[in-house]
Amino acid sequence: MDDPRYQQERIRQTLATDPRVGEPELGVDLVAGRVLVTGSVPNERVRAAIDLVVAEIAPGTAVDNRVTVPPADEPTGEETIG
Amino acid sequence: MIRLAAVGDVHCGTDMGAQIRSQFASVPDHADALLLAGDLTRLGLPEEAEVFADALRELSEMPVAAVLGNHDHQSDRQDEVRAILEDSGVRVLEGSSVVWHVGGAQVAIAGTKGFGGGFEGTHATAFGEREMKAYAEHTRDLADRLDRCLGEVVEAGLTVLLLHYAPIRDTLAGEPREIFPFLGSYLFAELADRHRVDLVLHGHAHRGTERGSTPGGIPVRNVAQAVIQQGYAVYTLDPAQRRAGVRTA
Repeated sequence: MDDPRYQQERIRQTLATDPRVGEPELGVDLVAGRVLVTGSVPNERVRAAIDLVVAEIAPGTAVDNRVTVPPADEPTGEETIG
Repeated sequence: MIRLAAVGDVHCGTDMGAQIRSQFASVPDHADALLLAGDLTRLGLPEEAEVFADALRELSEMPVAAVLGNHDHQSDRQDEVRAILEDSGVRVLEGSSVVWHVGGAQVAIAGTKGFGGGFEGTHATAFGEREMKAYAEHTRDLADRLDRCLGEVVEAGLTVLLLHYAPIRDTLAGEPREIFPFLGSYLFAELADRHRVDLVLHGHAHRGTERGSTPGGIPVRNVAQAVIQQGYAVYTLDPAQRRAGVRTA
């Protein structure tokens, strides 16, 4: 069986290149037998795709998907430069 | 006073038209112009660029400038992405600039995607394998082109440098240090200092930090949406308070 660190990196590489996710900026860690994914994606559909892609690469492994969708709210202030 | 709205790393997919339209609808209430710091699309597909450009059409009266990011290059169709954005009125900058008269003053926006390589002390060198030389030389080529561009906009009132990749380490705080060489290059900070620009904006580093400055004291802001945690940030610049210093061509 592979060292889990190789599996961890394989998951990270696939989340970057699989077009359902396509996010090279995500963090992937293996914690207590679970795949912990962190970072941000543009919407909930991409966030849900993370679970699908990880399930294909690591069948039967629990996914702790802590990826967030950043808020796109109107700004409440501004910064003066200089 | 000039008010600039800025955001990067929106990563627009084909299903995000309404989301993008909503995100930018309030920009005219807050700013005189909109700057987009790359990664406008998820996968660099023309159909994604069409959705993004269509959502921006409602800002037709507002000056908009952008640089592309690495996501916009993912499908090797960046020229099509760029053409779609420009057809909608967005000025896409790559070693080039645009000068606007907004907010009662003149502002030049100079831009490039930028690239990696790392930072002073540990920057990649054009030595060894062909692939390693190509990596280092790509950054140098973009920097050389931007240097010439900044020399030509020297007479503009205010100058803002728009990048995708980071020019300094400060705004990468929160990212793993191992990936710093893939997140930016100090060559662009050196240019900001040499040409005494007034503000540098970049994206790309989602886990980074908003505020930093170049070794020469130029403010740098990481406007990746995941960093600013809002639809866009607004920066106000006062031409009367323009930083002292001699610009060199």
